[in-house]
Amino acid sequence: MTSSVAVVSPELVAAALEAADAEERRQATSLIAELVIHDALPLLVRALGDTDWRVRKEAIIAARAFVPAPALVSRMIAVFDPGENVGLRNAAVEVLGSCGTASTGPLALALGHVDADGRKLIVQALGATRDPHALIVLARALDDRDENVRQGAVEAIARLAPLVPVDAHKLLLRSLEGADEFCQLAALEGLNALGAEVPWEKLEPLLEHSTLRMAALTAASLVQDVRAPAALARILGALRGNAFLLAMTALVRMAEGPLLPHVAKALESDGAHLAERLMQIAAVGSNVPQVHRGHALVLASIVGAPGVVDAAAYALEDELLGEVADRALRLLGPNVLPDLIARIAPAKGVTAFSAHVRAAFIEASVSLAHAPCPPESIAALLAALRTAALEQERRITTSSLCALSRLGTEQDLVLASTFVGSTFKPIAYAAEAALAILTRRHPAAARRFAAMQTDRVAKGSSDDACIAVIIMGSLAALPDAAGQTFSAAEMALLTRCATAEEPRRRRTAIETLAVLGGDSAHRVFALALTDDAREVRIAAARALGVLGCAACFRDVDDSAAATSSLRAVVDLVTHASDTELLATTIRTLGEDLDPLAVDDRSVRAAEIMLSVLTPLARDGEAIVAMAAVETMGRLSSKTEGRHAALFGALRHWDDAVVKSALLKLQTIGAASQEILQCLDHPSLEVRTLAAEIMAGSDDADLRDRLAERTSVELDLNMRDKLEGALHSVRWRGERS
Amino acid sequence: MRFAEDIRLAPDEFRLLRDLFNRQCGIVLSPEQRPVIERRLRERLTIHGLHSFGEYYQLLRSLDHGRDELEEAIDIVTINETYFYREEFQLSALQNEIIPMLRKSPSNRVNLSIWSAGCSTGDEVFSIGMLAREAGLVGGTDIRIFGSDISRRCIAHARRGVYGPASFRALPFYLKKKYFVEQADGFHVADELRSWCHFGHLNLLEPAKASVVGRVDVILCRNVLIYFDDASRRQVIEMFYDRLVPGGFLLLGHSESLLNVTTAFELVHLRDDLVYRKPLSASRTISAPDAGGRGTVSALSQRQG
Repeated sequence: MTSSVAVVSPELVAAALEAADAEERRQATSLIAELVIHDALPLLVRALGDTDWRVRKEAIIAARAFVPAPALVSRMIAVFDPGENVGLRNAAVEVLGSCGTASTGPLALALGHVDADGRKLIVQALGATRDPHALIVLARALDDRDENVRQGAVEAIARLAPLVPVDAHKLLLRSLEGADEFCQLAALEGLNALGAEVPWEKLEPLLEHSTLRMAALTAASLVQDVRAPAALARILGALRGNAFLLAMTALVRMAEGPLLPHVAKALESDGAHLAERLMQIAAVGSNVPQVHRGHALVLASIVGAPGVVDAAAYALEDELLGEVADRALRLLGPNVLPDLIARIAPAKGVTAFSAHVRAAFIEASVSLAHAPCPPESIAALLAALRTAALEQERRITTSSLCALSRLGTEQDLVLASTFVGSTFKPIAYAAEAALAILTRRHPAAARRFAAMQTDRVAKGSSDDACIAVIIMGSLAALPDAAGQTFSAAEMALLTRCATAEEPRRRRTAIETLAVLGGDSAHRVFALALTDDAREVRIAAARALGVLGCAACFRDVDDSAAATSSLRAVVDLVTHASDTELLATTIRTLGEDLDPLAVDDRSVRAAEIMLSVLTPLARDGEAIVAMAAVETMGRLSSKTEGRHAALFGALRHWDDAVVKSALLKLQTIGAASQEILQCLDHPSLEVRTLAAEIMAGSDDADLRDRLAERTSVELDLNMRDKLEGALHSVRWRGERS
Repeated sequence: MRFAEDIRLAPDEFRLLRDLFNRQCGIVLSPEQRPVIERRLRERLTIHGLHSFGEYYQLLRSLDHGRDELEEAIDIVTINETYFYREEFQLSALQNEIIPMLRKSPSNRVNLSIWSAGCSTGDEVFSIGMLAREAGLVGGTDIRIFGSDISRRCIAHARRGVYGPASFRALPFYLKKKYFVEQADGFHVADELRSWCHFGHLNLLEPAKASVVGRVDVILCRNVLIYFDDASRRQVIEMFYDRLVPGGFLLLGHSESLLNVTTAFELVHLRDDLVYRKPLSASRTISAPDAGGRGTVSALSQRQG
């Protein structure tokens, strides 16, 4: 959005900087970057001191062309001498900040030669350099004779804190101890931004000061001291407006951890009055940001405020409050089940709540029903779920089926089976899953039901063979499946299903065959890779993944044979010329693996898989490589070579694979020096992610390397990303 | 076979999806939005018979079905609520100050074009239509109103022009009575108002496509760019600059600012609002010094970017 001319001369720019029109001056300023530094500097200074903020801002951008030239640094420091205009001096701080480490030395030298205003600007600029070495100079400035300089030094230290958390944390805590409230405020805000816990004995007295109260209440939300909830509860009644909201936030944060009983006890004494106040904030239409509505709801649950179930219900309607509303319901405990049941299946079928909210009630009730509660509550809940499942609303039906699969009895096998043929896929899938889970929970009844279904199909009174086939698959997957044998009629049904006209039946047959295995299964799956229906092809690819995984465990003592079997599976799917299918097979290999399994068989099977996956993760098609990375992440944590294989994927040509490998390394806690190379990756997304992972790492050396890199990074966009990464991670204190 | 409810969006899967959506439409999803996105997208997984969000990401990147599904996913992820006469003070400023300013010298604009970029379900577009009509302007002659959104579902909703009670929370009753017809399925926008307003599907990160909008006098893009990352925001603002006539106005949401985005717009202080304006001299640029050695401006072509 700038303008150009063929030749830019200093005279032309200088003349245009005199124009009355600010837009003309701004455009002229943008051209300064095209001059040589000797010509540019005087013009730059003139533009940095312009009366219009747009021109000054444009000059700061133009100055980037000369960063970090020593001439630019010394010219900018020169404007801190008395007599220059304020706009120019502030702009110079920004320019010096963008020069990074190159500014630190000259700024430190200049500190002894300027007046108090100049010193304040110098400490500001030091904070903007992002140079960890500037901390030494700033620490000295904490003892400056001028209070503005001291305050500026605290603010600058706070700005550097994410880069040098350990040292900055000490300095900021020290600044809390002084008598200067503004320094204390800056220190508290710095500690809050760093996410560092302030010791309660230091924090509690600060709550008394009106200047510091808000920042102290914010800091309180990071406190994990058992004395804190009672102290906050004591002052809660007297707090108004934002102070009350902040205190509420602090109590909610404390209640997220082991301090929950202390918070509950502390709030008991305030009783009805507090409950009423919280309910007003939690109510729909209350004039506070949603986050505070959510906090009020959580505290209202803790104090058992009347009407909190309905408040949670209305909050569930709001997507942004969904999680917190769900938490509030769970905090209420099993006693709230009758209230939920009445809302899941209302007596006369009339309800004020949307299907989405009722589905959330169903999910919450299942979780509450797993806690000890009276049998009559469970019976009432089951009755409500069965009624709800029959409603013509897909969310309610699928949620009810899901809940019944966890809590239901034998009779629910029949209910679930009625939905298996639904033409609406989410309902049909939910019914299949419910049938499979209920079969695992009630195998004998399911066995009888499957036999009955088989008989009905044989006699022509039912044409849906899927029900029996799903049950067969689920029975075969039971740990004691060795005892499960199927009749000739059942096996015939399975065969019929595998060649049925309807894709759904073919897919179901493939899924069951994947569990049953057998000599012919491999061939059936291979042929199904050519099926015209995608759902059948995907099921076949998954089934082959299951076979591949089974081969690794079966032949674990003969790794050559196991590797060969797995390769054969991968080759077979590769021949189908559909990378999605191959990726699906590879993902399925890891689907049921437990990374925490460290027994000998699991480790050896994982090593066999790794030998096949490693080249795919490094050189395969992108989606295949990502699937390989995903499965590597699920291999036993003791698998030798797993980290090296993931580091190999960092060299893949596709950004998404690299990111996937980075994320997997982070998830398995293997982020190490190798990811440093990703800070120079051509993709900004990869560089940003690598920075974020380094910032969040427990490896202090890795974080230091990132901070070091931030201070010398001259690409300002990248520097912001690096600094943003360091800022984004809450500091968890000194880590080994 | 597994329940949709059991499929969790793991943090690493969320990160990959987040980057994909960001690249496609500029939107930035915060880590706190993971449960919301998980809930919104779950049904897509069951419709495709997928077992994990990793598989869904795989589908979104596939050459065969990825493109259509990505549009569908973005449609689901970007749905945001709006209502008539939202932030009414800004609409009043448009009616009472901006439009009169544009119609006066030196702009002298006669046929005004207004673009609501990111109009969601069209509430803002019809709000502008109502206030223009109330100000005595004539649709199609004095004013042309265009609304765009990345969500096809929202655009279809806007074209249908049927709204529920929640959309009317801030609209004066007399306007509701005047411009809407109550029917069994909701309140229908009156035909006269509907004919003033045009809608289109547009991704703000596709500047070439945005050029079909032509040059406009006012762009409203309220509470849209807050969901964008810095780079995308800059890109969109640059496109807006290009689409505006010199002297044209850009209205952002009340909490939004161009302070760290661009210096190209000037800030205009209105009675109850601050808005941005493309400088009238924006189409001119510096040329060689005149005989007296002073820099002058002349109408040279503008360099993009």
